[in-house]
Amino acid sequence: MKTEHKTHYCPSKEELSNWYDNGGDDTIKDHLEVCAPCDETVGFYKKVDETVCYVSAAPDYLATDIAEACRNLERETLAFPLWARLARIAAVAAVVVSVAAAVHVMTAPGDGADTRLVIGGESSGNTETGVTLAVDEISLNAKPDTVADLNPVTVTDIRPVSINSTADMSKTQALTRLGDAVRHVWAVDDINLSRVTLLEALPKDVKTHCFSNVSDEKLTFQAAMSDAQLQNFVNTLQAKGWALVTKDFPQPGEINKLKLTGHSVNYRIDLVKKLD
Amino acid sequence: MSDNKDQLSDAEIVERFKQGEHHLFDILVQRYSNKAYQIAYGVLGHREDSEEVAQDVFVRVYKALPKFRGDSEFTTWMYRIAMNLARNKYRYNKSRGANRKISMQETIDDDDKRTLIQVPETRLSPDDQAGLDEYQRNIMREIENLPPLYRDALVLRNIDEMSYEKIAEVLDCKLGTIKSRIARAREELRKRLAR
Repeated sequence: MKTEHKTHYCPSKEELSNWYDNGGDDTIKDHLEVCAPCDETVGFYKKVDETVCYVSAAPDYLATDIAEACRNLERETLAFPLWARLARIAAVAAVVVSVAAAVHVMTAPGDGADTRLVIGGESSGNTETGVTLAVDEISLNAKPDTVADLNPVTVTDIRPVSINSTADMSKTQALTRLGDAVRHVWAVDDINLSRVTLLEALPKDVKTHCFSNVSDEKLTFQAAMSDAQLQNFVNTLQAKGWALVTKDFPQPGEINKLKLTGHSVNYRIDLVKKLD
Repeated sequence: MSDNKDQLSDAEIVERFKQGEHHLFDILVQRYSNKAYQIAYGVLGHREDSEEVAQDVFVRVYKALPKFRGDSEFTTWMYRIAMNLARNKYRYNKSRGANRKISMQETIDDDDKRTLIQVPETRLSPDDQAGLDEYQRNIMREIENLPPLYRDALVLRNIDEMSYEKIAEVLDCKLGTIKSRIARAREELRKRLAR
């Protein structure tokens, strides 16, 4: 019969815990037969174990999803072998060096003032500085018929000018390059219908995509596509009446703020249902 | 070497993977993806995050396997990666205040059609909570709130009743330290749940 109170020979909590996990000491087993508090403690350990095992069971699809992700990894590796990656790095380095050299040539004779490129006629003659590169009569109006009242634009010269120029600097904006992974939250009216919308809007050559966490209230979708495709994808979803909650780029209709490089972006969408 | 792929040992699979039989990696995924998930879940208490971590574990293992020297067992190495990634994610979530409720406002068409979207970021998502009684939910919440050193040892112990020796190896601790941490984790848990 179990006692109601601890006895003076109750094992320590560490001994009880160790016995529960590894067994071995029969005196503890005998003790539990007669000591309710210690028996209760061990019962608690068991309850915790059972709960953790029950709650942390992995979903059925997990292994399949992971195996698929690893196979995609292999395909990517085959598609971009080491030499191709090195060539890409070399190309980027060459571009960086070229740009740096060009900037150096354009700023070298100047007085160190901040400079900007302007197209002829916009700058104040008094504040010009540096080298003037004359480029005569280059027509930029490739399709004059398409825009009413569009006058032919000519570039008469390209020159670096001082920051004090009267040119409208507010129009000069840094472009954003998308990262390798983008996560957006979209709000939709109907989660179930949204699966169809997603598949319809997905660029045709995007073969790798997956859904997860599907319920009536939410859904997660992931796909890999180029940055340009992603911008179009986002535009399409917006056009279908979806509301983009996240403020991160790409934003619908804001392609002019992006620096598109053609790199692959892992796009994750978390869909939530709009509140009535 | 056995021809029955399911009966291959981890060491054999790793060796053959290194020789180019990459398809054998699927067997490792089948065997251990649930373990990686369980470790992540024990630390994070969040289903989606745990799936993400479990996937990340195997992507990293896949990339690093050619350089795996085999000084320790494959599982020890893999569990270490899982534990480290789960801890990183935990810290990341913590720094972002993942326990707080956040609200986001979004203009759909015009100002009259503003939608207020409440995104609850509780540690246990509604899916996770389904099927649990209140006591079980409290257990999971308190495990997550345990001091990380205690929590990690207890979480590993619950992965197929991992031996204390193996836990010590994964966490790079002495056996006595693991015994003590697991006991303290349980005791701390018991005290917190008794309040």
